[in-house]
Parts: sequence; structure tokens; C-alpha cells
Amino acid sequence: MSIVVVGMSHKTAPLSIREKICFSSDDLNSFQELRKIEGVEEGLILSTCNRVEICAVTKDSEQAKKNISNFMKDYHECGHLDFSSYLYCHEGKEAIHHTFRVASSLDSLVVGESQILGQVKEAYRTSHEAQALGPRLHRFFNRAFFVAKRVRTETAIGSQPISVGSVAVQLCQKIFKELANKNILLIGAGEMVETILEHLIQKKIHSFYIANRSEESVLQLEARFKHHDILVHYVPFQELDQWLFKMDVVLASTSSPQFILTRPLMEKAIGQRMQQPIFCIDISVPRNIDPGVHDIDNIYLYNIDDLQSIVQENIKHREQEALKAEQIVQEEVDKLYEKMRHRNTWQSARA
Amino acid sequence: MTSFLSWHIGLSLLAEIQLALALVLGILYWIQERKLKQKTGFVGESRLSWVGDTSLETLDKVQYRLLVIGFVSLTLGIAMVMLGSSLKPKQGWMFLGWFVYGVILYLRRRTGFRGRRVLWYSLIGFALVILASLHGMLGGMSAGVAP
Repeated sequence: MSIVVVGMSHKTAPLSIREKICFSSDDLNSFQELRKIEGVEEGLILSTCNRVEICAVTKDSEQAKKNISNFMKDYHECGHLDFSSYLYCHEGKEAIHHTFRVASSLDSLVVGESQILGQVKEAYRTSHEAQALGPRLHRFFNRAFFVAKRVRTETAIGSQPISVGSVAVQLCQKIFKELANKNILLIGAGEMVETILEHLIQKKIHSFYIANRSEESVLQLEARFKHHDILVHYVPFQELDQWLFKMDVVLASTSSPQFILTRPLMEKAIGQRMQQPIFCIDISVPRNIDPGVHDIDNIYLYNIDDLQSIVQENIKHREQEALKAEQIVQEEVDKLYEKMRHRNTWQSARA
Repeated sequence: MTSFLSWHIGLSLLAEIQLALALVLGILYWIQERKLKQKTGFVGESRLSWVGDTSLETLDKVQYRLLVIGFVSLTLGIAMVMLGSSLKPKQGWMFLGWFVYGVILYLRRRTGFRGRRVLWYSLIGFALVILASLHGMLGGMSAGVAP
């Protein structure tokens, strides 16, 4: 009795191939077909945007591997195509190792992202619904969830954000308890703004102020985020200094060649708001906020380089944590493999 | 008179606990603010995640409340001793400490005084209050030992 994994991922196949054989979780039929494949006793399909793979329990792994890869092609009616160079096949210990790594997000495009575990659980549920699972895969996947959880709790692999937008939001949260009730001012709305706004909107912020030369910018911004239902207030550029003291977060991204927010302007604002902190993010090049603003008490100014260097630091940290995670995975693979071998010898002795 | 004294001791102790907690929060605020100003040190803080995850806003709010109730306790404590007995040297320290905390709260209301500066002032205030208590305790003990 052995476990086999056949599939392709972002590492082995381009999107144009992966999209041809992806399985939808709404299509229970495909999951039900699994057990009908010759040589497959229990099966599970994991299909995400980055990978499609089938995990199965079999007595004859060579036959199962062949039949599973044929099933992938035939089910999607692309039998005429040759996928062999894109497919990976693992069996036994290797298959356990692979599955544990996938569930722990060590094989992901963005290592340490947390989505994959949910996707594996979803695949497990759907396969269970379709009655494609048996006792062995039940045990095996529960073990994989346990390993993934161990990796999450014992390493800091997913603890730090690794995109400019999420780093900016994390910094906001280090300053402010709640973001939903804060006033956020956009000065200009360059392209980079989107990456940060997306993350702010995720934190339940729906109301923004925008300072610009024309009122049209309000409509433009609302149009860009129309699927998010946001409310944008217009602040005329000339009146910026009268509004500044109300703002908790300022996000500048214009193409202006000189500083828009100067030190005296910000000093006045922070005094008017009784020293309540202001978080300034300057993602414009050339810069729009005088770097000296960072030296004012209770104002924190981060420019694009600052954010990116935090991202780099976090990536490096994540790589170190991934090494620890690999050790945990290896340890768990050895444990499980040993256990399975015992069970197999015992079962064959009984037979 | 003794009851005034025990009220005084109880209230002062309460005030000291509250002000000590405010001091701890002040230190946490200072650490967090320093990191934000220096733009480093965020990596690896996950080990002590509650320190890194607590926002400046929360730290500041809780610290301010503790300072207010600590100040009130201290004021009542001093009032008790003034009702009960005449002024002794140790109450001089206590008064100075009380005055420093008063200044912190006044500046806070007037200018939004916070962060690092509050930390320095409350360090001084706390030292004075503790000094007064130690003085009182040691004085009390030696008075008890002496016939």
C-alpha cells in the first residue's frame, strides 16, 4: 500500500497548460471518477491556480501513476497533448514529503502564504463529499494539516508581510489601534497608490480624502475602486493646509517635482491636532514630502525605499524561517513513514 | 488619626501601583516609537508579538488613564495625611512627585504632551513618590524600634 502524487504546479508547468486540466470543486463528478481509476483505492484532487494534483492510495504505484495522468488528460479531453514533461510523480516517502510541503506552504509561489492550507482543506472536504477518500487518506491529510499547523506555530514563516501595501498597512497598525475611524488623505493618485489602497480597503476603510488640482480626480478614484464601494471627499489643493491637521494618514503620490508637504506645514498641523500621531507615506518619485518631516515628534514618514527595504528584510527573514520549516516537515515525514511501514508489514504478515 | 494614616498608606500604595504600570506602558511606547523612527527592528519581534502588535494609540490611551487615576489616588493619599497629621519631610518628596504628575497631566491637556517626554517626566515623578514612601517606611520602622 503506497501513496502516490501526480500533478503539475507553477514550478513545472506554465499557466497555459495548468488551466487546461484544472478541476473545479463544483464538479463533484470528477472527484467521484477518481475511485473508478484502475489501481486507485482512495483519491483526492487538489486544484488551485498554482497547482493541479491528485493524491491517491494504491497497491500498484506504477499502474496508478500512469492511469492518473491519463485520467487528468482524458477527463479534460486533451488526450492528444503530451503533458509528460510538465507532470511530476511522487510515491512513498517522496509523496508524503511533497504533500506536507504543499500544505505547509513551502512549495507555494509566495512561500509562507496562508491560503494554500485552506485550499488543501477545501480539497479534502470536497473529496470526502464525493466519497473519494478512505481511511488512509483521511489519516494522511489530517497528519498534513497537523504538520502545517506545527510549521505555523513553531516558525514565523508567515508572520511578516512581504508586499509594499501590506507593510504600509502593518505600519499603520503599529501606530493606530483602529483604522476604520481614521482620516486618510491621498495627495494625488499615482499608480502605486493602488497597491496600498487595496490593503487599506481590506481593513474596512471606505472613506478617503483626496487633494488634487481638479475635482475630477474624485470620480476617477471612485471609478478605479468601483467594486469596493468607497466614498471620496475632495480637498482643493489650495486649501490643503486647512485640512491637514484632521488627517491621521497621508499618502502622497503626485508627479510634482518639489515638496508639497514641507516641514513648517507639518509642524503646524501636528500642533493643531495636539500631537496626535500622523503617519505619512510618500511613494512619489521625486519625493513630495520633505524628509525632515520624519524628525518632527509624533510624525512618522516612510518613503518607497523604506517600505521596500522592510519588504526585503521580511523576505530574508521568511527564507530563514522556511529552513526551519523544512526541518519540521522532514521530521514529520520520517515519523509517518516509519509508522506506515510498520502497519504495512503487520498487515502483510496478517494476510 | 491611625485611620487617616492607614488610608494614606493604602491610597499611596494604590497610586504607586497605577503609576508603575503607567511607567511600564511609557517604556513600551518609547520602544515602539523608537523602532518606527529608526525604521528597523520589526523583523523577529513576532516572538514577543503582543509588544509589537500593540499600537501606539492603545499604549498612549491606557497610559493616560493610568496616569489620571494614579494622580487622583495620590492626591487623596496626600489629603489623608494632611487631615491626619502635620507635614513631615517625607511629604515634601511626595508633594514634589505629585506636582510633577500634575504638570504632565496639565501639559497633556494643553498641548497633547506624550511619548518620550511623558516617560522622562514620569520617571522623575515616580522616583520622588517612591522616595517618599521609602522614607516613610524606614522612618516608621525606626520609630517603631525606638522606645
